[in-house]
Amino acid sequence: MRPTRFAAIGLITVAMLAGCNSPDPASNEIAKESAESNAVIEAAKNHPALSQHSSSATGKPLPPLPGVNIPAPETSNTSQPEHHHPEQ
Amino acid sequence: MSDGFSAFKAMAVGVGLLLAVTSVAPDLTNGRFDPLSLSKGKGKGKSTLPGDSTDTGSTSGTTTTDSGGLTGTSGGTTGTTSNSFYSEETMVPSNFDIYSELISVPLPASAAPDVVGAFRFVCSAGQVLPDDPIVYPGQPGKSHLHQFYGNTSADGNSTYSSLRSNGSSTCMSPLNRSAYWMPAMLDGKGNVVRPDHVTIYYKRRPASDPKCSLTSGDPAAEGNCVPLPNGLRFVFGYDMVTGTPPTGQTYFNCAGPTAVAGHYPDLPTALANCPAGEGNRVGAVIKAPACWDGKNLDSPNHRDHVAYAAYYNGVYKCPSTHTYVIPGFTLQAWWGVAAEDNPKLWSLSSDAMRPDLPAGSTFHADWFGAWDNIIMGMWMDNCINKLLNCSAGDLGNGKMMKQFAGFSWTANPRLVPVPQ
Repeated sequence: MRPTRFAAIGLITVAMLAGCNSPDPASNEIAKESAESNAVIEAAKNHPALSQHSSSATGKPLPPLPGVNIPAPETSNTSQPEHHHPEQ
Repeated sequence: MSDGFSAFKAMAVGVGLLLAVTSVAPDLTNGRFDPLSLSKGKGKGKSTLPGDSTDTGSTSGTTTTDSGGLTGTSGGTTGTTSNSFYSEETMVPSNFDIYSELISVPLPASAAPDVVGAFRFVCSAGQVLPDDPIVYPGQPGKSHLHQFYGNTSADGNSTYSSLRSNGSSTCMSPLNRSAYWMPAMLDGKGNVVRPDHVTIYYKRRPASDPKCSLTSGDPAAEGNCVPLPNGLRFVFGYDMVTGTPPTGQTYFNCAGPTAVAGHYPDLPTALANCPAGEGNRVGAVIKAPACWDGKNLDSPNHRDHVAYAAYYNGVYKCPSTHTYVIPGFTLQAWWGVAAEDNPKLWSLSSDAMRPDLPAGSTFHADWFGAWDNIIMGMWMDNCINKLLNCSAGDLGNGKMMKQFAGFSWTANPRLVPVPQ
């Protein structure tokens, strides 16, 4: 067998085994999405309406609607922080 | 076991390297090393990407740039207007002081190295109604049960004009009076499970990106980038009429302390990876089409006027029939899975029409755009066109949308009876 073939086999072996350590693209995609989702939620938690209970909130709780009458959340001009959200 | 496997791999890598080096060494010592010899006899071949297909049509060659500089000063009458490139409904300005709905914040960071600018925000669950103002306009009560987000006035009678003129919004503030809806989640015990929260991401390449213009000279241009036209509306995901699988990306996921995140094709699979009572949430994720035909704000099946980009001869772009690139959005709805739930009974309201399929298979969503044009211009001009990483309603210009007063991280109430 020619030396170049040995080299090719060797490099292919290395590449294949190195590939065993590479996360598969689907996992990468899922991890990237999870990171983005977490970042968005963290950013939302830092919205002044949530972190400062300030007048940065707007709108009114949902009105009664035909079909399903959803009880309005008990909020007025502030919103409810999640239980693990740090109190300001 | 993994340690043993790692040791084996390390040893094998070592052997492989040794083989490579020793086999090349003679050539090196003789000064005849030719790296090309390693690929001698190998055909280069053409790389083929998944979903590669052929674009048989020709492109229109129409060019527009996305200024996003909408001024929002025209009157509030409805009708259709046209600019030199496409048609849209006459803009309806907000009937309140839009600047009172903004707060000041620092500028957001760049989205680079990502190639798309992003504008993201969170929503609470809104009304639950058997209505669909796109599929059954003016016919309240005719649809399967829907969970709405965004405009709190949205119902079966909604139009672009009515949405622009009425309602608050569970998606930040009434600056976004768009309506978003999807089949309601049912717990199998006579209740609708309302999602804890929903995140929505609008993304696109900046208008200055050569891939945003078919006449830029970039052979990989995706299409001509334009803002979202007033009155655009569409249905996406599973097609309840034809039963064809969704062309866009839809999947279920799980997030939380003991969740196994993934792209799951149906609800049972996702819920199996989402232990109940442990603070986990099951998610439904759907990506809206971002290619538009430039002519129609709706179509007979409410789908054909928009399309998804795909690979055509190796180039990712919009189809030649839909060359206008609008900001695409992804919607993620997250439901808490409580200890008292029986997730095996969960399904979407639309699943009742396809009992032969796993629960969740009929996942789809609807969107009826009704943004305030000035605000949309802000996030287009800044978040998208300046390639910024905008979250929580940050408009990218030092201003942020106020948050809906009814927002909370857990649905309140989480369960409501299915209306009879």
